[in-house]
Parts: sequence; structure tokens; C-alpha cells
Amino acid sequence: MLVTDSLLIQIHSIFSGFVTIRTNEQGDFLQRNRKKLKILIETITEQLVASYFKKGFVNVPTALLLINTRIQELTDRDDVSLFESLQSVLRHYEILADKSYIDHKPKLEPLFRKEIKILCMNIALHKEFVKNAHAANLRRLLNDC
Amino acid sequence: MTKLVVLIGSYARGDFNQYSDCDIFRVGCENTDLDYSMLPITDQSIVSCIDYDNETFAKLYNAGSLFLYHVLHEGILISGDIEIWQGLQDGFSVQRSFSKELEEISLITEFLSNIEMFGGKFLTPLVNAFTELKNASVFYLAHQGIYTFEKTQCLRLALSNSTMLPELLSLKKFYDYSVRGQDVDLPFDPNSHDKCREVLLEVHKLTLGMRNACNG
Repeated sequence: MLVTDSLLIQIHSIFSGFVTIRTNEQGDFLQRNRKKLKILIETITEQLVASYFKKGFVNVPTALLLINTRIQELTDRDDVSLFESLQSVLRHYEILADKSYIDHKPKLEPLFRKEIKILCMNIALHKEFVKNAHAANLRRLLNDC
Repeated sequence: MTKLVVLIGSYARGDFNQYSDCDIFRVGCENTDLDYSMLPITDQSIVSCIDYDNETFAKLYNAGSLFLYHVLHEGILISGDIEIWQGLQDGFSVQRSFSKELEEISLITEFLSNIEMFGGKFLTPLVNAFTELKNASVFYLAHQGIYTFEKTQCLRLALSNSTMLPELLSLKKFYDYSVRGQDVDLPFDPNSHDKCREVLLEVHKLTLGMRNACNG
């Protein structure tokens, strides 16, 4: 199992909330949900690292180092796409984890619209989820985003 | 435009230990606006900066942010105008209601209590649960007129009635292990479904209780 069904449902819920809110309020929606996004990305990372590399997760920086050194071992195209997109998100992890009391929207919104969306799409498109109804729902939603 | 650099946290309070970060609060500064020679440390890697722009600082100052209360009461000015700093200390009035903050925390702990989402891998929710529980405790205590920011003390004071106090206090070890990269013995297996479920549900129950107590 790549990630849990329940995690797919939570990812769907965030994107669903994003697309149903008015465009000029989407940045505020992401700012309000930044902690949830951080937890989702950490959870995806924890599950993928355990699933592929049989390693215990410690934190995002060490997971990124591990992925950087082990991604060459992956041969399946879906796996490579998945981990390349995870790398791209984790390189911007600071935007999710930053404790500064500043407006994060200018960096957060592009990250969500591009890197996070691509990662979630690659999860939903993975061959392991070809018959998974939650992944199918997520694929449909992300295609419409 | 005001520029302030303030030492906060355990180094300002004097209760730091070998694992403590050196926390710096900055207003209106660039990343380069820090003179490390002014700090009571030799290892620059333990410095952690929390930055505010002037506009956000003014907004939260006027709102009586509890975090700013601690900065202004415990902080030590490292760089900036001392008269402005003293004026900020003298003129500050802390907020009285923390219901909004506690509501937001309880939404996150509710999210973390979606046990099945984690697929038997619970380090992430345990670490985040610790942060939320600590923050809830800070707000809850402030609502009672008790202003403290030290993590373990907050938890001991706010959660003294919980039958799971030892487990809740031990969550800090998961935080130290993951966020601070410390080599600590974890108090229980973060892949243990039943134990982690019990702890995460207790955290959510407690944050709901604190939220409700401050709404009433």
C-alpha cells in the first residue's frame, strides 16, 4: 500500500475545499489550512519512505536526504514520478513548516497549485491505485483543478 | 520602520539545557540582521529565528497576542532602540479571550485523531499532537491568568487531571527526536496502533475540554 485510503480522502477534502471556495479567497483558505497541509505532506512522506525504503521516518530533512540517495534504485516509471514529485515538494517544506508570523500566501499558493498538486496526482495515478475508488475520485478532482 | 532583535525562550529565561535552541525574535529584519557575537552561545546552528514584518507585529501587538506578551516579559533586547522596546513593554495589554486559538487547535487535533489515515505510522501525528497540546495548554493557562511558556511546566499545570499525564509528558521525546534530531529513547513505539490511538484521542479530548472551558 502506497498510502492509506483515509489519507486519500483527506487529500481530496483539502483540494475539494480549495476548488469550491471563491478564487479570491483561495489564498486565505490555504493559509488557514497550512498546518493540515504540513501534516499531510509529512504523513505522505512517512508512509512512502516506510513502504519503499523500509526505513523509519525521523523528519522531512532526513527523509529528503534518503530519497535523494535512493531514488536511482527505482526503476518503475510510476515510482520515479512519484518520488521526483515528492522531492519537489519537500524542497519547499520550509513554506509549510515556517514558524514566522508572516503572510505565507505568496509562496504557499504556488506550491499548492503546482508541486503539491503534481505529487497528489502522481499518487492517484500510480498503478497500485488503478482500481481504488478514492484515488479515482482524487484523479477526477485534480483534473478539474 | 522598527528593527528589533530579541533573545527569547529558555536562553532568555535561563532554564536552557544542552538540547535547547537559542530562540531569537526579530521584527522588520533581514536574514542577515543578526550579530551572533551578541548571543550567549558558541554553536550558531542552534539559533532559531522567528520573524515578524512590521505590519504583522503591529497587528498582533494591538490585538494583545499572548506570544508577544511572553516576548515582552521574558525577552532580552539584543539589538534595537531601547526606548522603543521599553515603550512596547509598558504599553502592551494582553488579550483576554483565547477561544479562537483553542478552536483552531481543536480542529487540528481532530484531524490528528483520524487514526486510520496514518496507516500504523504515527510519528508525524505524535509530534504534531505534542505541539498542539503544548500550545493549547499555554492558552488555557493564560485564560486562568497563569502566564508560562516553558513546555513541560505548561503541560504539568494544564493537564494535571489527566490519567495519561505521563504519556502526554513523554510526547516531548517524540518532538525532540523528530524536530530537534536528538538521540533519545522513545517512550513507546510510534508504530504501535493501540497505544498511539489512545494517546491521540486523549490529546483531542483534552484540547476540546480546554476549548470548552475557555468558551464558557
